[in-house]
Amino acid sequence: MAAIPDEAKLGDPALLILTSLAEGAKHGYAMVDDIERFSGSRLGPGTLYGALVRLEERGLIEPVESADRRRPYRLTLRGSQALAREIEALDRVVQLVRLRLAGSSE
Amino acid sequence: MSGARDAREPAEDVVPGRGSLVLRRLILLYPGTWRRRYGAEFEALLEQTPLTLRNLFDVGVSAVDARLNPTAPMRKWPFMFERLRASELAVFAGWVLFVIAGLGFGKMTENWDQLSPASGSPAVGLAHDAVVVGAGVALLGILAAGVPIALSIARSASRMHHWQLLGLFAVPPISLAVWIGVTLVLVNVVAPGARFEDRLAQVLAFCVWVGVFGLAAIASTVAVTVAAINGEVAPELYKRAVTPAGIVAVAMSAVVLVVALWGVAVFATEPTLFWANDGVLATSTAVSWLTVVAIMAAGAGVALRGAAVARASRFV
Repeated sequence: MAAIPDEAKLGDPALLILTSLAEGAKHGYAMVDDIERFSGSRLGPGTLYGALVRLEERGLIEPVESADRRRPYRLTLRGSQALAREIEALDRVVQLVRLRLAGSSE
Repeated sequence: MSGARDAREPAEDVVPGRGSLVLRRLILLYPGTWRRRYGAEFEALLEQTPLTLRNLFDVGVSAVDARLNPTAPMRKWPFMFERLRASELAVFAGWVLFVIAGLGFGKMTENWDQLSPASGSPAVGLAHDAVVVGAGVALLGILAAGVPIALSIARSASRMHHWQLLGLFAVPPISLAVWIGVTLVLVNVVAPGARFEDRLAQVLAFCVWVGVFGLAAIASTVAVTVAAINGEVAPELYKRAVTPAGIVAVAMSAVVLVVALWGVAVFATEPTLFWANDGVLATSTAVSWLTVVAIMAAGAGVALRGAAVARASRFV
């Protein structure tokens, strides 16, 4: 099982943002709304932009040309790959949790 | 995609409330570099964010974090982005210089067929054709790099009603029209009345013609530069312009080399003509050629340097 290096791991807001952008380019407010819809968590504006800045720094997302001030962002190829790796790792954890819970209930 | 549609929702639904004004003031807590890069879009988000204690705290903590832990883009972005833009504008300025020298070369060789048996030499003919091809490639590169950026600036300027910015794009065609007008006046009005065998009249007319062209070129370059600096352009477009800018610089350098070889070929095939006064407006051929090569080399040097810096700065 390939471990994800520490520096490649995504925080919760970053994972939520990448998941939201996996659907397509979105600006900040659309991301906050979408994340709230699928996760139940509403990111604060500072948290959102703190994570966006770091994701852009890592080349996982990139800004899209925009006519108004609400600049949309989209996943880069690296971002898609990072999200896929993170989801695989989460999936392994979920399967393990299910196995252990099933074992403890027997 | 619904996401893409969301991203392009009209801005009319953004109605800032009093609370958002308070939140927007908090942008001042962020470092200047952060505000320059993300300020406008963050402000647009805050205009739609309700004023709550949680949001106040969230923005405050994020601002402190941005100050204490400036990320790489924050340390480098404005500098790197401006460097990318400035280096591509340098390629454009170098190209303008190159075009000026290229017109001088064209003027110098316009009657070459009648003047010189050297024009029949394969080396000279090949060099001349190579100059035309190189100049064409450089022009295509400039168009490939510049047109998307210019269109982006024009689109955002018209949407935001920045008419002055749009007006800057009128400067190059107006400058060209003025220069053509001056040329027509010189050719049709001044020249028939003047004794053009008079060397002084020739030099004066040439100085006016070149001076107006130089001023037109400077005005156009400055206008385009000001528009690029003040216009809204996604960094992506500047990144896409890196390769065409490199092609422009390489094509210009090749042309400089070919023009230099052209002079050597003329010198080798017909040295008397090379040292005669068959250059621009009957000035020395050798001096005209050297001047053209020097100006072209300066333009190509600026463009090469700009293209190299742009290439190094493309990962903004």
